[in-house]
Amino acid sequence: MRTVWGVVGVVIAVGAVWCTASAAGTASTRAAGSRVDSASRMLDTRPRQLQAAQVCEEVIADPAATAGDKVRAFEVLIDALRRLDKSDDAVKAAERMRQAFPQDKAVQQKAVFLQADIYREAKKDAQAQAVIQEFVKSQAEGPGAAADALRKVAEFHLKAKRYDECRQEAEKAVAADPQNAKNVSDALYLMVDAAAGADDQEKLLAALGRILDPKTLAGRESWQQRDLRSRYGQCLRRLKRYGEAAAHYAACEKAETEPRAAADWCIQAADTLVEQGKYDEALRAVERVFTAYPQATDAWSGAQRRIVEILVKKGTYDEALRAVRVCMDGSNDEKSFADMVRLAADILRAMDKNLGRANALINYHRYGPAGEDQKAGTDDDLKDPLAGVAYPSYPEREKAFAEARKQAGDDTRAMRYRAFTWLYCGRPKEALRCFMDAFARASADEIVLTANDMILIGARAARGYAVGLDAFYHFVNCGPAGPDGKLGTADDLADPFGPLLK
Amino acid sequence: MRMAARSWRIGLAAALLLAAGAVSAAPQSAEVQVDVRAGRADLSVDDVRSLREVGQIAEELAADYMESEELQAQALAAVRRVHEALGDWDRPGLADWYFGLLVKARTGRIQEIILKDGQAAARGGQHHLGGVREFWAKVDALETETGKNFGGTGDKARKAFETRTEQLAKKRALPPSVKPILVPVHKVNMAVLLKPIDEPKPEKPAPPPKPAPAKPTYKKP
Repeated sequence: MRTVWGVVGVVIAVGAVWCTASAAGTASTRAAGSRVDSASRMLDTRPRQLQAAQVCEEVIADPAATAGDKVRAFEVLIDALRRLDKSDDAVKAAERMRQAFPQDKAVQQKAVFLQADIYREAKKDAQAQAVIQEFVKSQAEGPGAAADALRKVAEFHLKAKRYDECRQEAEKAVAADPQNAKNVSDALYLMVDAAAGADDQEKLLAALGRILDPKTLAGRESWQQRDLRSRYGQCLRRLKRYGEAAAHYAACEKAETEPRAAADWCIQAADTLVEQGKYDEALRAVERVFTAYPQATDAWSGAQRRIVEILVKKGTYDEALRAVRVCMDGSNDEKSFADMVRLAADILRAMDKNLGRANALINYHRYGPAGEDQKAGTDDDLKDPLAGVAYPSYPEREKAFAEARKQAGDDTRAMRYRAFTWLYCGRPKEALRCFMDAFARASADEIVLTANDMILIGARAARGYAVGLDAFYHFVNCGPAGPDGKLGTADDLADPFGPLLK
Repeated sequence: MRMAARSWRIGLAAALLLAAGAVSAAPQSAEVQVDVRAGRADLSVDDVRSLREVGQIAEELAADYMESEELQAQALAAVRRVHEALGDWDRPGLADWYFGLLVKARTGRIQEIILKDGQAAARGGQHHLGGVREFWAKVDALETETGKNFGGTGDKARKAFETRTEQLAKKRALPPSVKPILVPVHKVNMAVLLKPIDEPKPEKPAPPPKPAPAKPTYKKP
């Protein structure tokens, strides 16, 4: 019995010792790792960079630190030394890193690339390339490492604006590891940048064409994919290959899953048609933004403005003036409203070949109908030069918006959306009703937002000018009873919205 | 029995929250009228009927102080969503209903929700905040009358005090976290943003060529 208890005691003692040792080891590892982490956060000022370098040296020398901690310590040390402009020491540290892990291929590559980066920073391009080339010849094992090294060389050439050399090295990188989609994609990206830097559209098109291969493109983020497709289209246009550009944009639009991005493809297709002088087709392409993607509200103001610009290019100023009224009404804030007033003034100037009506319009929007003295019925009263200009007719847009309104929903946001659909159909009164409705439905948290929309967009569009909107705010805040809150007293307020809805 | 009724109502509450977002088709009802606002939100007669039904159930749940705070809060959210969809914040007696709830509200969280949504009801579907000013005047009067402080934050300490002694709770009452809303005037100064276009400056006529300097002529002294 005593023996059994003795065995149990020994087992417990051994277990306790093992647990203690294990815990101590974990604590030491954690300490080394956290010391490197804190060093990596100390690289902002010179004294702290020196301190960080010291900490890293200690971790490198610590026998309890793991290999991973040491590699990371070398990286942070090299970073600190580079920031301290000690490039020679940094190169030496990279060399030490290589020597510390002679069998670890990944560390070898990392150290070589760091060395090359340091040389390049010190404007020692020849040494940078020599280090990489030596690595390719003697150490790079497998196609992946060779391709990485070749891309690194290509990158150096690109930064030094040696575009042909960059392209050649990138091509070698593709050839070194053609099955690796990421390698091919990265190398082609370098070729795209080199061709763009050299302004060589033919080569740019060729590189973009290759990178747009679905297999190569798949690894890229969706915004990068869109950017590359867009650059391909622009390149075709610069080469005046309009037919191919149109087909490219049509394919992009068809493949697009996000309405906002699809609307952008419509605009780019329209731009291509404008470059060919096909204005009517361009107008139809822009109109698709509204009719095919009525959810993409963000695209509307840009699209409507594009319509105005195309009509101006076409020389149909009357139509442009009608279309610009929609731009004015749809403006989200006073700054964009002022921009649209200037656009309308430019059209008047182009129509009249003088500044009379253009400046009359600008002054009308600066002071409102009461003129500079802000008193109606005086000599300086102003008239709206666009008063007789009707809104444009967009039957297809109205149809698409009517359908979209049915699906919009029944909350405050949906009502705001409905208001904008009316604005972009040239129906500001209906829009104001919807903005007022949104305000009426809004919860306490949405009051300020919906009130601003109702006044700054809705009332301004229905009135046609932005001067004197303070009265609307005053009414919204106080109500008809005025500041004293009692109806039938001297400070009662007339509803300024009422006349706008008649 | 109580438990069964409770789970039935919880199920209903969940359903009504969903229904507030997307109304399912219900049998046609002749007496239900689609008013202007509901029409503007493209709600059919059936939608309106369904929303009114779920709104009624949510109101019952919200007013039941035997229910948990969470369920009450959810029911109040559903009531708000239903009124938002129907656009019927001007329904007669709605603001008074919120006042009734406010007096009975047990927690700061519920008070806060009631005060927020009560303001929407006080606005009564109008395009100004006149009714909200009246609403706050009524809240002040109610506080004086009842000696209560509304608008607590739902803070745990206050809840604990409420369950123990009302007297202490009153002393620890927090100031209302819900304030009357005022829409700050967004000043628009178009005179600063827009400037008249200047006449293009006429091109200066080229200066007349300078006469060639007369060749010096030698004058005999």
